[in-house]
Amino acid sequence: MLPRSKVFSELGNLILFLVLEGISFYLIISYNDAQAKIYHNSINLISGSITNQAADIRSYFSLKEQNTSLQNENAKLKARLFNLAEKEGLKSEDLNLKLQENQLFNLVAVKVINNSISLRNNFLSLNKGEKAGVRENQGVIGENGIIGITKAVNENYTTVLSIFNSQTKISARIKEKGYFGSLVWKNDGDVRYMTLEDIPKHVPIRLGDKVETSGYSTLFPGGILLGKIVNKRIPPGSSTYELKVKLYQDMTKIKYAYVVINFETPALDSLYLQTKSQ
Amino acid sequence: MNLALLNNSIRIVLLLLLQVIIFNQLRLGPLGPYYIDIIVFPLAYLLLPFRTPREFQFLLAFGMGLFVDLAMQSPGLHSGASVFTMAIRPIILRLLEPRGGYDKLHSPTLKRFKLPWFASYMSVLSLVHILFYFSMEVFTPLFFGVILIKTLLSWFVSNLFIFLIMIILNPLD
Repeated sequence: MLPRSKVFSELGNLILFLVLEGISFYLIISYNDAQAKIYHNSINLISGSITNQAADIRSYFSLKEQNTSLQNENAKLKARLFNLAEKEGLKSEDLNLKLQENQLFNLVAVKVINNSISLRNNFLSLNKGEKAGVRENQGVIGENGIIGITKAVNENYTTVLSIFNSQTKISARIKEKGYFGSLVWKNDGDVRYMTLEDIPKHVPIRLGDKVETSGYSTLFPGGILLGKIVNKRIPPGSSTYELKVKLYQDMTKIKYAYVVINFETPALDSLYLQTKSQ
Repeated sequence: MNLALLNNSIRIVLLLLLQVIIFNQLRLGPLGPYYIDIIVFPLAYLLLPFRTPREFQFLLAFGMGLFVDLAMQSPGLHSGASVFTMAIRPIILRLLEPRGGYDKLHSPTLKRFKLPWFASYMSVLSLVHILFYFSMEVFTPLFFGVILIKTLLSWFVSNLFIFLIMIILNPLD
């Protein structure tokens, strides 16, 4: 009689079956183009969603770290507020009132959900959009410097022109000296450095001088520290410096950022247009 | 016993040659993408005697499938389908088991078991083979409809030829 109740009467048969099917499957995905493509695409799909979820889970592990960093930033801001109150001779409650009355900037806290740094023109994505008050052409700052300028906004998401983008040009000045120029990225693939241009060559520059935002654009408030000068040179035939600036902000690690909303932008813009049309 | 061995050897060679030389050249395509492949060689491994050792059944099915694959330049498709069908065979045999059980020395042929039994046995297992084959050929469950249509068309035409061959040869074992 047949071994009636079992498909695989022995373990050996099962193993043989699996081995033979394994060989067949291997042959299919190795020597048939169409099947190989489908196989690799599927693997990518699966591993992609796994990476995504893993990143989500990993973000919980760094919660403590992120919390500490946010707390530090908060403390710094509070200290500045108190110092300002002291300087103005006000109590901190009065200062709050005064700040509300003369509010120039507001910040929207956002999470960076996508960030490229390896391309020639890099972009970021933020998890908030028009609903949160974000509009086109607003500055985006991080904890230790600036990140970029908003480019396209929809209801819930924003695309940001990274500072590592050939179209981005930031108005920056040398701290305490006041000379200002433009901070650009030279497309050289190194995301630790940017270049400060248009500083006249008669200006005494020392290595280690700090660079901050100038406040001449409506995008960023003045005085945000960006980095320090690590190298200076004057290109042959040029009348301006080419200064290498080491950034404080590590763009490879940003998770949270702030969009700067300037309440004066509309007024300034209309004024600018008026002047231009005259 | 020696007769069965001889019979099976001849049958295997004959069916493989028939498959590779004739039927593989006839890819019928009257319906655009839903072409029909005529697949008759499963008959060779499905007619193996009941007493054939299980390992040997798997290896033979794999070898035959691979031979057809190499001729069709579709490595892995028929070998996978053949081994899978071979794994299903005992289930179908159990479902179709006659009252007295099977004689270990016999083979599941038309002459031994008459038409209704043989028709169910052969049509189910050839369906398994062809379904597996087209699933692996299309290789994505997204085109389940395409798989199903190709399978049913090829299954129908293949079975016509399988029964024709079986009636012409009509072996006892």
